[in-house]
Amino acid sequence: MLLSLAFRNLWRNGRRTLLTLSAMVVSLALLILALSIFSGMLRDILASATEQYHGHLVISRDDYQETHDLYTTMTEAHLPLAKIAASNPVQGLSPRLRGYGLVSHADSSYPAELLGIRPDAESGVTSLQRQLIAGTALAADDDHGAVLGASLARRLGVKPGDELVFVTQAADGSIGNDLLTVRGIFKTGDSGHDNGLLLVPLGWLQQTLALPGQVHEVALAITDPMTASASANQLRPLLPDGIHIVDWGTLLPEMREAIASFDVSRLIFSVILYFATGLGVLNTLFMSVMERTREFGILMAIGMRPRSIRLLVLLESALLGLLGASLGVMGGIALCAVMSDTGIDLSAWITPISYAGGTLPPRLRAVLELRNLLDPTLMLLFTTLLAGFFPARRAARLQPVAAIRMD
Amino acid sequence: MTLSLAWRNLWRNRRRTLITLTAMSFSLMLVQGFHNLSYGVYAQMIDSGVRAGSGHIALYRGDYATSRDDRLTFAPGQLPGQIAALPGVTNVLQRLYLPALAQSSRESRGILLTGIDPAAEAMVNPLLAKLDLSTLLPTTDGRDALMGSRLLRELKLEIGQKFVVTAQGADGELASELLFVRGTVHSGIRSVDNSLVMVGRQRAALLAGRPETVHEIAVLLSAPDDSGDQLQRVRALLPAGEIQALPWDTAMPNLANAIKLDYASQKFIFLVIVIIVSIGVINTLLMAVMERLPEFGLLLALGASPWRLRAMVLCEALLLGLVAMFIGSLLGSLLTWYLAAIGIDLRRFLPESIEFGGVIFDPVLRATWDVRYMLQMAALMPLLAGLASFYPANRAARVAPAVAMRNN
Repeated sequence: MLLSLAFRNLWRNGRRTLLTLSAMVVSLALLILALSIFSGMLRDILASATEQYHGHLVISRDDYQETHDLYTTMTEAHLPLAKIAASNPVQGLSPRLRGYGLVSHADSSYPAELLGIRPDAESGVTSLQRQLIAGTALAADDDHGAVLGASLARRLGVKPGDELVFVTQAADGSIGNDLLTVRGIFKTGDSGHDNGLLLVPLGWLQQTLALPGQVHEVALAITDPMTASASANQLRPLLPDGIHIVDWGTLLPEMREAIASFDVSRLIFSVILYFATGLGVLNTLFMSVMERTREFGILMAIGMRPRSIRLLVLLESALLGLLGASLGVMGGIALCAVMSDTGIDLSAWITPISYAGGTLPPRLRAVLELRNLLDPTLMLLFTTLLAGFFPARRAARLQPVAAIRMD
Repeated sequence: MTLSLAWRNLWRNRRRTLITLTAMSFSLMLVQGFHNLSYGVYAQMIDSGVRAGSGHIALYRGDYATSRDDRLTFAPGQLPGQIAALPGVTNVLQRLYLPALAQSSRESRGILLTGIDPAAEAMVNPLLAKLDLSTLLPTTDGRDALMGSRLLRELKLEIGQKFVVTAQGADGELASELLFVRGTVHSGIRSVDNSLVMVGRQRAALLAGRPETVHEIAVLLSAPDDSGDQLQRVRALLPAGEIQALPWDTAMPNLANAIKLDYASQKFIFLVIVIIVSIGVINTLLMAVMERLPEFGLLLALGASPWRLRAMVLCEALLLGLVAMFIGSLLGSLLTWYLAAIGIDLRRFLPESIEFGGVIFDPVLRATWDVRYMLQMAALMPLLAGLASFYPANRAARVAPAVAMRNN
């Protein structure tokens, strides 16, 4: 009975209730949108570091990830790759060899990092081969092709079909020196990769560096990058001694920090917004309690307990909160749907921003995660209940006689 | 008279007015305080960024800023001295950048060889701030080098050991040079720590086969050049030709864009706050109008014009806005004062220095006063309240006297 009473009370002043509701709905819907845009940025910057280069998880020997030591290799045939590939979260797996040296074309030479890969395996882990602006990706049977970054290609003055010379120090102490043919040119927006990264066939690099059958690391892609740490723990027992598996958070501590600071801004953002919303709800509920002072007095005089009165006002605020929350969630989902996929393209206004080991592409798009709905909704309900608390207390403390005489 | 009537009307329901005032004042406080905090943090990021990077004003030949084509060197000639003599210029830094390959006995890595004037640079470049004076490069043409901390580890080198740097000379031939590690630079930015090698400017120019030339002249000013006057003065000194002077935000788009994006997200929050506060003000005024409908009817019956009623509701709103403006600005100033004097210390939450947009900034965030912005936001309050009063005022003016009075 209290519930239906509370509901009817809300609509005794429909305009006021609607205005308060609209403040709640606007704040909740926009907050859901803002948090989802944050999530989108986070996904983008994380993807730029992992899905454009590192992978979500990396297997390597000893301290290779710290030093990139040429000699810290693993024999590919000794790794339980088939077993790892068959594990649950693993989506793709790419054995790689890494070399540093000078690449030259005609009379230009620049330093570069060469990543020896198997094209089809690498495509399951990173998207570099799908971000081409010219030429084609490496074919599976290509034995001396190369795909390189756009800025490097421009500085070297090469286009697909041109020849490159790569010079480096091989593992046996000799000077490794071989020819490559440019197949494609990628552009990621990450200045480091666009400026100095080449993808070459694994076999070719193993031969040039005199490291036959050896790899430096195995990069893995998993279903959900946010569970990388748990997946690493799950895969660890499969690995032989001395071989380690690390997740992107360990590999890129600055990225982990950036994501942690995103979480802090989410919180500040929400608190500020709900502060303003909460005061609005408080105002409405106080008003409605004040103008019903006499009514509460009568209710008490005919035997309603103060506790029930308090419950009635709290129920009104809870109903208001639930109504606002459900409409706000719908609004938020609708806004996110509009802003998903590509979202707003900012490339005319800003260029990609590199920081924390990743690159933020110039776009705003919303990625709706469950917590983006849940956190703000719970906070809104909490805020409305809190805002209902003081008016409810006031109503419950009224003295029936004085209240009826008032007005 | 309308004014004093409006003022009295506001206080007929004290609690309602107070709650609305609180919401408005606190919102103004938050907007002012957080804007000033960002303003301070951005200023600090820019300061750190221009010192390590392009300066407030950067001189390049041709499109070096975007193409990074190493052939675009130029002879500085008399320019550094002339620019240094301009008022407001604190430092003029000449630099040369050379992509190169560094090799130790075991490893090789791609690096960015940066030629600097050690004495001039040491005082201002934040990358060198933590460096012990004894590890400074002694000359501009010596073989001593400073190396990024991660690069040092990857090359398996120790301080004092030698390494070889190979780069392409002006004639297209590769040239190599033997250098010695004199000290390390640890910035916390991965792309710097794994690729930076600093040597004397003349040593780098010799290796590049372009003696006595530079890629960049970075001009540091005593205060940011918001008006662009300093840029004009520097431009006036440039000889006719390819050399250009650029402001920092053109020379370092990464930093400028990081700030733009961050500020845009902040503006979004401010916008939402403004919407919510406006709805709150509409709500309050509407409530105040609705409960006084009989009164308005009476006033109309007594011959007050609808415009008079509109003016009165507008006056109430403006008064509300003005009071919120004063209280909010006072609170905003207090918040700014706190954030400027004490700041927010992030060291408790984050382990190391913070990087954003490619620069490192102090983990103690401090606000800087932006009085003009505070005044603009303060003026927004009465304006907003005035706009919010439009609907309630209309409602009051449109009552039919007889119906309104019967309504009681």
